[in-house]
Amino acid sequence: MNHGKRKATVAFAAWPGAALAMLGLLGTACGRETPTDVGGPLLPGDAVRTFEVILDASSYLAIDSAFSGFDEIFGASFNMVAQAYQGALDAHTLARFAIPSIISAPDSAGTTRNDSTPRFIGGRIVILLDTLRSNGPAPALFRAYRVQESWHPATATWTNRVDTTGVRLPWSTPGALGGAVIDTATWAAGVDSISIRVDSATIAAWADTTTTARGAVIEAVTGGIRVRTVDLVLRLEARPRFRPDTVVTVTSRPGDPTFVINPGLGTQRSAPLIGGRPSWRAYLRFREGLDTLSIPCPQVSASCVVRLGRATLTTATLMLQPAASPAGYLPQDTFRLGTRALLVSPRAPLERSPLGEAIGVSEKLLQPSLFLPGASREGVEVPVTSFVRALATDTVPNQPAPRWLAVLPLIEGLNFGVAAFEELPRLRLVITIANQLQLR
Amino acid sequence: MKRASLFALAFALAASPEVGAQSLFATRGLGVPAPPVDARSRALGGTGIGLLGLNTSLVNPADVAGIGRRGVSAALQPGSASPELAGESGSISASRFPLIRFMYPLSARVTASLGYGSFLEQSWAVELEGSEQIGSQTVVTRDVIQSTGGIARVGLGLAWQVTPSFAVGGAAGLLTGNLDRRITRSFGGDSATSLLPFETRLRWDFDGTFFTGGIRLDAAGVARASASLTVMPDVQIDGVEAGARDDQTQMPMRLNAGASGILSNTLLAAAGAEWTRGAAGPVFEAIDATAQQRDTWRVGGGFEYEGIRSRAKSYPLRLGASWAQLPYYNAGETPATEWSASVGIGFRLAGDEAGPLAVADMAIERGGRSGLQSTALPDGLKEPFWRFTFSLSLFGN
Repeated sequence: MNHGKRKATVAFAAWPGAALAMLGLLGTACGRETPTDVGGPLLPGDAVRTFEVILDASSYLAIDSAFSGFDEIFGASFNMVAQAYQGALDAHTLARFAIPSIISAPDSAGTTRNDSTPRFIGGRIVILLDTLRSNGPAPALFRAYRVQESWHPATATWTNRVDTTGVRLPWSTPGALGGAVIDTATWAAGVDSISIRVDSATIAAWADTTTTARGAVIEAVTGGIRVRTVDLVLRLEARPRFRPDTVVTVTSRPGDPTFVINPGLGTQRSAPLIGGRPSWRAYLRFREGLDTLSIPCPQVSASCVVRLGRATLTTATLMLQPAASPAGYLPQDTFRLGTRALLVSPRAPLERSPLGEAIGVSEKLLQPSLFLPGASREGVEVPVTSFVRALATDTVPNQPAPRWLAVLPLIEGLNFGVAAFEELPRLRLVITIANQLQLR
Repeated sequence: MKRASLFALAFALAASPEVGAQSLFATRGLGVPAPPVDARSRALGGTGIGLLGLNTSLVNPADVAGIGRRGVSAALQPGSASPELAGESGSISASRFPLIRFMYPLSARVTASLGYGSFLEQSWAVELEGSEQIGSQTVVTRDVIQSTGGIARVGLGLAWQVTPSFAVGGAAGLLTGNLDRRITRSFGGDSATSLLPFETRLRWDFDGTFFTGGIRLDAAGVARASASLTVMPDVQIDGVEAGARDDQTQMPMRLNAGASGILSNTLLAAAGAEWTRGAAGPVFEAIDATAQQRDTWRVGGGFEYEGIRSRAKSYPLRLGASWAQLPYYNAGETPATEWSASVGIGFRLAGDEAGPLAVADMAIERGGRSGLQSTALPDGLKEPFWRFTFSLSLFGN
């Protein structure tokens, strides 16, 4: 018996080599395999089908509307000057310049000194233009006026100089006009700035900080023009008291430039308007029970019908049909559309609802010419796949998927002019189904 | 024994999770039969019954009668095939886990065993390139249809050495397993970024039982005959995911018989057969079922040469061949067959007069499957294959 046990121990010492060899084989044998491209004829044809369905708005949409008021004019990175652009739009730029009470200049010995009683002999308003985003004929005349009434830059509009909560004060002349003419200047073709002469009396008036009834309003005199300004400065010419034979130039930028427009577009429309400044968004509410929607699939078979909730959505896109922008409001630049869920709550008005997650971005870059009157227009598709998928498989109790969708520019507030679309967009669904997997 | 068990466990865990595309013939019915036999049996014709010497295959529970040591045996079976269909050829490869068996002598005459073995293999994967008209666009599609799973048998057996030359055995257990069928579609070309990939899957569980009874006769230590009968009530097919529909299928009665004999001091011959009967007809009860099954024969045999030895070790060389009818095909198709020729070698690494302590075997098979001719595919499917089987048996006192 002992003899046998000793032999067994010897045996166990002998097999680790074989065991290791087997483990090595295991390692090489257990890799994941790749499918073969032979074998298709053995399987039922059309095991998977992908097809397109286009739904009219009545099939999926409960409400569509558009709201403005996002990204107000005040605070924009640009300003606008327009005169009867597309026969309709006027825009004036307003600026209130701060006139410095102290200037610095070198004296005759070359030492820089401050002068707290400088004498301003004149100046120039220099307007830098974004020529690529400006429209209209050149040369063109521009004119600056003094603003003769007190005004509030953050709320001033074409008709009101102050429009805060509880206080609404109209301009005596709409568009902030009616003040004395400062000067007129010509914008020449190929030049990216306009320079308007300012006299010493105007500068002296602007130096009076005891009143807010000061500033400059700039209008285009030439009709059919719309220009976008990207910078606005006042270059002051002053003679220091300690060196009256010398002219020094001092630059002042307005603290709160803004622009006013006429006509406005209101705050709500039924047809989608998207973009601009103030910015517009289109809001769409998808109907309840989207998961029960029956989708015919004649591409698969004559009797094929699938419920959207049971189908796999390969893609879903909102099909927007461009329309002519409101006169004067042609977009200035190319842009893309984006879609985001809208987190609607009964505690806030619809137009103030916060935006949820980003859903998709249009593949195409939309050209302004798409929105010209009479232009030939291709449809624009904006992806909404994850949004529709969530609605079609909305099965989590007490956690309903968002039903409201916002369509807006990918980056809001950068573009003046709005993109207009026909009412009741259609929904394009691409659905994939597999029907040959059962054991048979 | 402790080390041996641990090793066997590691072997099982490492081998079982990954099973790749085994055979395109598995697209039919419940797949391709995968007998639960070890590498020695594979090298001797694959029938796994009636072999003189150590036979750990799960075909006949009586075949482990007389094993007086606790032991474990496991096998691994990597393979590759080159399917040819409609003038095109491809390649597939995968590994299978034919068996693991624990043996435990309860007394000098009674040996218990617990075995897990393959039964029907249903793993295959096919990739299809195509196109789809989506609106005004023609979109390139790539579909991968993948089936992963199979049916295995888990059973508890008892073998009783009634007399030195006669043993009986019985085993009962479960037919168990699952099947996962998955289709994925991806899109190519310009639209690939906007079209999300598609994936869907169905999953079934298999649930059945089997009962096997067997006898073994030895003649003066130079010949052995063995036979077993397995019956299996209907196997339930339970759809468990995403609309997979329930079904059930009949399993045939299975009669296995084999014999081996020593022809000289160094040469052994073996032969065996398996016959299934009683389930011919539709495989599934679904109204749109197309799969059929038939009664089948599997035969095989071979020779074992034990002339190569060094001290206590021996290295038997084996040569064998097998032929089998595959049970499943679709209506309108001809049934398929499989043949193979095999060579093998054994490594009796340690042992004593009471029996082996460590045995490793390997078999290499070259074979082919063919069939499934139909009007649409007059040449049917041909699938030459290489199959390798490795097994390791370890025993302790």
